[in-house]
Amino acid sequence: MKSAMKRFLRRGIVIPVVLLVIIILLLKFTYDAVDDVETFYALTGWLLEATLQSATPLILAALGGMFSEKSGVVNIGLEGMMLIGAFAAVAATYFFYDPWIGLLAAVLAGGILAVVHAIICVKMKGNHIVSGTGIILFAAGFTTLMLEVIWNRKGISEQVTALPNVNMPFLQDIPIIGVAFDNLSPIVYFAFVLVIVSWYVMYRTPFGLRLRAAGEDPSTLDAAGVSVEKYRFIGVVISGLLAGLGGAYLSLGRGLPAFGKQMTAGRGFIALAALIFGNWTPFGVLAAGLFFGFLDTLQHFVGFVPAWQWIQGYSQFLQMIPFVLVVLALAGIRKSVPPKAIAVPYEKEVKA
Amino acid sequence: MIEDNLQDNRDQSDGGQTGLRANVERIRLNLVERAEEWPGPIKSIVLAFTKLLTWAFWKPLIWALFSVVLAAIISAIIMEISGYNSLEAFSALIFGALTRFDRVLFESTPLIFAGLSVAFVFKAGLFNIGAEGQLYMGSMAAAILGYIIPLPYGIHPLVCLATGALAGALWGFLPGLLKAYRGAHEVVTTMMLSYTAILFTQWLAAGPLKEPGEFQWNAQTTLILETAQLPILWGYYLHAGFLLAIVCVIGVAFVLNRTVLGFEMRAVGFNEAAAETAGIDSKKNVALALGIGGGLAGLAGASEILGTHHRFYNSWSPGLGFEGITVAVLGNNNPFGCLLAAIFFGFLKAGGNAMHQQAHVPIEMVGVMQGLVVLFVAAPRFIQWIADQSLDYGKWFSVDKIRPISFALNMIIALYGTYFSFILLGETQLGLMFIGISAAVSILSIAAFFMIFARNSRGFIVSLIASMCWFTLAAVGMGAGVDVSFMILVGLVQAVLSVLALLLVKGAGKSKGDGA
Amino acid sequence: MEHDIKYAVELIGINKTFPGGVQANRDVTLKIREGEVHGLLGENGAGKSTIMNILYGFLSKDSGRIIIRGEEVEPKSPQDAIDRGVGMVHQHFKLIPPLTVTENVILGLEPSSKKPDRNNSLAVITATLLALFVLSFFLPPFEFLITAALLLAAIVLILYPPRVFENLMASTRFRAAFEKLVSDVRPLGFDDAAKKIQQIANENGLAVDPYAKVENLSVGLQQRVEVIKTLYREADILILDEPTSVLTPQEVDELFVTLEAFKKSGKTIILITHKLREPMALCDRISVLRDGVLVGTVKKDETSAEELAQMMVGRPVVFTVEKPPATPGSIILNVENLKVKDHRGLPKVRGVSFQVRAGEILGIAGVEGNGQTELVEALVGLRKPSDGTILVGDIHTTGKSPRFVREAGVSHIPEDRHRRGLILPFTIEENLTLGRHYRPPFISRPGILDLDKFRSVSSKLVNDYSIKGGGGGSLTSTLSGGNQQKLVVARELESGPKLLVAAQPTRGLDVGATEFIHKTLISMRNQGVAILLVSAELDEIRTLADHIIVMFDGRIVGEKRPEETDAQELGLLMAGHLEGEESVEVVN
Repeated sequence: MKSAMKRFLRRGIVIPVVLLVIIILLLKFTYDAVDDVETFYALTGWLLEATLQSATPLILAALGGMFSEKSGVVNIGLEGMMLIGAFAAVAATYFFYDPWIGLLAAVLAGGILAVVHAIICVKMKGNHIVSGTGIILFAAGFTTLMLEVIWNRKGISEQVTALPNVNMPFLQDIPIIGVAFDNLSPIVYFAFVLVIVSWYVMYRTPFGLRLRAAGEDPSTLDAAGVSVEKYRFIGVVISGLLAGLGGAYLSLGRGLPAFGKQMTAGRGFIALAALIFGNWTPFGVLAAGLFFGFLDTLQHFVGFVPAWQWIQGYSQFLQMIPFVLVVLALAGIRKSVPPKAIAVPYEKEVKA
Repeated sequence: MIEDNLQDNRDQSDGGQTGLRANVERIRLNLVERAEEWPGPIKSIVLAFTKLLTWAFWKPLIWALFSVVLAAIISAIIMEISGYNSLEAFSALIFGALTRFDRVLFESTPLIFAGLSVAFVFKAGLFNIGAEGQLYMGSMAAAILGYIIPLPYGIHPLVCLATGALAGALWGFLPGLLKAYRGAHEVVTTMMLSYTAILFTQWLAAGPLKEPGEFQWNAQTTLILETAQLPILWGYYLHAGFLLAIVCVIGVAFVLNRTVLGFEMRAVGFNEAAAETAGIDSKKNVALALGIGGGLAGLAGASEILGTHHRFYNSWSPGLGFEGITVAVLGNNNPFGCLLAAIFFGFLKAGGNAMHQQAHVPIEMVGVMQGLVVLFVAAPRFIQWIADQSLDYGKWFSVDKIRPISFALNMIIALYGTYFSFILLGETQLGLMFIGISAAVSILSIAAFFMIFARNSRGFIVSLIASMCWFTLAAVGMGAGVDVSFMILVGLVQAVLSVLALLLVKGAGKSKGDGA
Repeated sequence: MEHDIKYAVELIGINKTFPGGVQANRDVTLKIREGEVHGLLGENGAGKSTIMNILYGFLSKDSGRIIIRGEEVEPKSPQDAIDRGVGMVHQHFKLIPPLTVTENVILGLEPSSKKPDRNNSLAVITATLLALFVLSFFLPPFEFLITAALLLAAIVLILYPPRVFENLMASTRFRAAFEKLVSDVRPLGFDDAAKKIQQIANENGLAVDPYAKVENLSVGLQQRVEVIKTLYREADILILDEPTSVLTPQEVDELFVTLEAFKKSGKTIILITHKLREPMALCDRISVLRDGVLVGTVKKDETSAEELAQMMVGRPVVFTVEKPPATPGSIILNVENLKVKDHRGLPKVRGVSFQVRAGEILGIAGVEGNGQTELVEALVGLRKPSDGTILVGDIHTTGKSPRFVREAGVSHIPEDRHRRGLILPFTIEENLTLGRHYRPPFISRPGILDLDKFRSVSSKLVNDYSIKGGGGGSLTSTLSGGNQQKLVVARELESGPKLLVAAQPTRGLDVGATEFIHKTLISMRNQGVAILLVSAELDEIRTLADHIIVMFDGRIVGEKRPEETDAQELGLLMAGHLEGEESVEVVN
């Protein structure tokens, strides 16, 4: 499998290198701007930590999207699955006083919503996008409704126990950037492990091979005697599980451990952008997720450097970058290869 | 299992036509034939009338109705579980909306535009899920023109509306061009450009175009001039934008059915290769369709600004563009269907307020209903399957009595079990074990219901397992000191019924699909 | 006698109707003997592929029985057929281009590697260590140890299940359940599989690189991969669906050598084809299907190509169309040195020149896939030629849009009426006006359609061309194939063309519709229309054309008059034997 390794190096290296160059330039300018070593170190550490924090939900949801889209089902409902995950995490933690149960509930809730999507798209051959729209609307309405039902509040729920943050003994001893690792949610590390696991599952197991086949050419998979529906179904459900986990991170992993109305704020769509920009591969998703997380962080970061505070007035443009990049990517500045049979319901009995 | 049966039934139902349908079709053809001899105007009226007799006209209507009913049932269950009185809520919703019909039409106005936008683009075979962004662009353009240049009454709103439509059209034209000439998938590009537009207008409202004033902290533009405001037609809210929406419905219907442009667009939407072979420029049509769709979405934004909000402020639209998708889907992408669907959703929204005031159900319930309607419409085969299965039961019942009844009883108890276990899910103080088992029971009961409905005898085994879970649940509940007699009762009934049904089915020899 | 014969496959009374209402198989009974090469012959759409796909479990049957080696089976999915040793090479390869040869071959039957390959183990171990590393920082020591132990145990079970469990699991049922549980996530043994593929390839003379991506392979090599796929599954009943339709003559020869070898090793082979030459060269027995019905099964030694041809087409090959002598007028279509590339950028038409005069029919004969499709697309403006000129009358139409070409007086009957010819969800009226809808008389004001005119014109055409099956307002999809084609012909002729480009105008039609279309074409010719007829059916060309040119591999290899030539000579030309070359084999 040497060729695979080479291919990976060739394809996967572009985005990280660009990212690295941007970061180095940024750090240099920051150093020039603050002109104070202590502040600079603090800022660098904060930048890394905040990037990891912003990127985690994106990476998780985008990984989920990858499982769904690789199997040939478009999942624009990621946003809804994240939202219901965030809600379920807080609700379960509120009732059972244990954030780990909350985490489990989030994953399950995302999964249940994904089962609905899978039934509509895979079993009933419905329109993937309409179904995704329905999921988003349902999740938005349902979570806000339950917010009122359970806590009798409008905007934000009561606070619950947060997931305990962890500090990484070795990583946190690294000078300068070590600060970033002393108080992160375990879900951040889960995300990284899940990227590797996803890569392994996708490219090194029969399951992954069949899943990819279902997205590229379902009739071939069918001719090989494998049920297309089964693998598409599983793919969609996995996407819900991961998106639910991403949602749980939003509510329990960072900031105030509570659920707020519409708290995903379009992150599901940014995850979709990361998925496309990452070319539907796990490491691509990781790189794109980190990059988009970094952009998200940047708009707050400039607030800390007095010389750059004027940029905050233009923060919307920073937020736009992921969306614009994806449009440009699809318009052909970068080769993007979606699974061939994506969004096409597989019908067995149509004469070829 | 369920899916296998589904497949079979679909194949059967596609072929067969019921007697009624065939008769109606015969009458229709007869009428069409005779109409040819009648004078012009009568002929066109009769021909239009004959369209109402086709199954193609009734099918989407019936499906939409089915979806709405199913969504209402599930909403009722959600309300009951949340501790509200669903009957009271629904009656409040309906009466509230009927007594304030101006409000219904007001709420539906932007939805008509947004729905038309999505539906028009869909006719050309494309999906415009970025109507929200086009709407924001349109509203911003209208808001700017509304306060920047003074113009006389009558002309000013027209200029604003035209500019809003143009801004939206440009924002739709861009992904159209990308689709036509670069092959960029419009689902993704419209979605991404939609967010770009929202952020861009946000910046405009917070930065360069922010309303001046020392204590003005909101990100909003200056109030538009009085000359630019749309007049109120009825009540407090309904503005002239509604009339424009009606005009647009008729206009879109006319363009689609009576013009070269619409003809070519539909041709491209149905079969691009054949359209190209016939000399139709598919690229031009793709770009134009998205452009016009964007224009309609832009009108939605402009009319809302001019008629209601009178200025642009950040996130003024509660996802109207997104709801446009639901309108188009429920309206079967037909302009008049969109009108009806938009009024229906407007009805829900307007009634939602009354529901909130009288039955104290949070207004978000409306969003849940909307989502559920769309989910059911998205799966027409689900409704088809339910209809087929039900008809099948009718036939079965006419040849056999005992077994259909035992099936039906089992389904009823499974449904009741689902409902009851859902309610128990709310008793969170009883601990994780209790909730976990309740969740298991609810899932088992749903599965059992659908399996029995699909005439799969394995459903009875699932039902039996569910009944065992009821006993376990009772045991756990007893430890926590709750009254468990009812759980034991449900479990007992379910166990007895499923065992009886199993015996009946086994006794008949063949277990699955007999009697069909 | 009959009792002694062992059948590999028996298909008894198979019926199949597609959801659209097309009846593909009617009560077909087919018995294939163990170890024979059985030809399944028939025209396009005769139901050959359908019945084999039913045997393979890819399509469901409406009724009938399937018996494989004496065992009655009810194949629900191809897996049931694969389990019984049936393998199928589809006409449109069932290969996934972005995947490697190995991945494609093992899809659905992934090897459970006894010895996990190095890369996989590394990946798993890295992931495990990472997970443990992360876990170690937020779990108390005791829980961490338990979790770690469980995780490691799970990994070992997944990686080495057979070894560890061979002795432990005496109960096969338990083991099978376990196998099923973990088989999906167990690492793939890519290297083992690749070795096995290499071995199969070497043994059968089917050299191919197991690590190559399929999208980089030539069509011939892709077919090899398909054959290897069936061998990998240890199939001994091999179905090949039109295996030669995409191959070069050399590749066909190689394939036949391979098939001979398979036959010697005792495999049963079913060869689906519509070409007469192939079964006569290779098969022991030949079954002929026509319109979904089995016409008969004959031994190769007891039949002739002529008899097979008659069985296939079902009517004696006689010229029934009255054809007065042509009176050619001025040159209407003038094609000079035209070169066209296909969508992949490969040259398909490599420089052709010809003329068509008013009042004559020029027939282009040739095996499909020799550039005719691309030639027609270039002529009607659907594909830009890379070189050369096209003149219609005196108008330059090279590289112009389809509408420009149409306005220059060209009509086009496309070869695929469902994809290119008709918009099925449109009404009959709409389809009859398609292409002229933007001009008077179909518009009342610029841009506004005149629907009354739609109705009146269409009711006239429906009468004139006797299109049956519904009035102008019914949907086109409800019409039968013949009436749909009549609709296309009616529309294309009604625009009063100078030149008509008709590609496979009678494909898949019954005798009546075919005759109608032939007569219409002749009468148009008599009225002075120039007609370019592209057809893969030699008889049609010979019946209708005044001139015949033969295309092979993107070039014109022969130009004949129908009365000067015979089927044999044309067949030779179509097979790529250039004029003047000695014929090396007898062609039927």
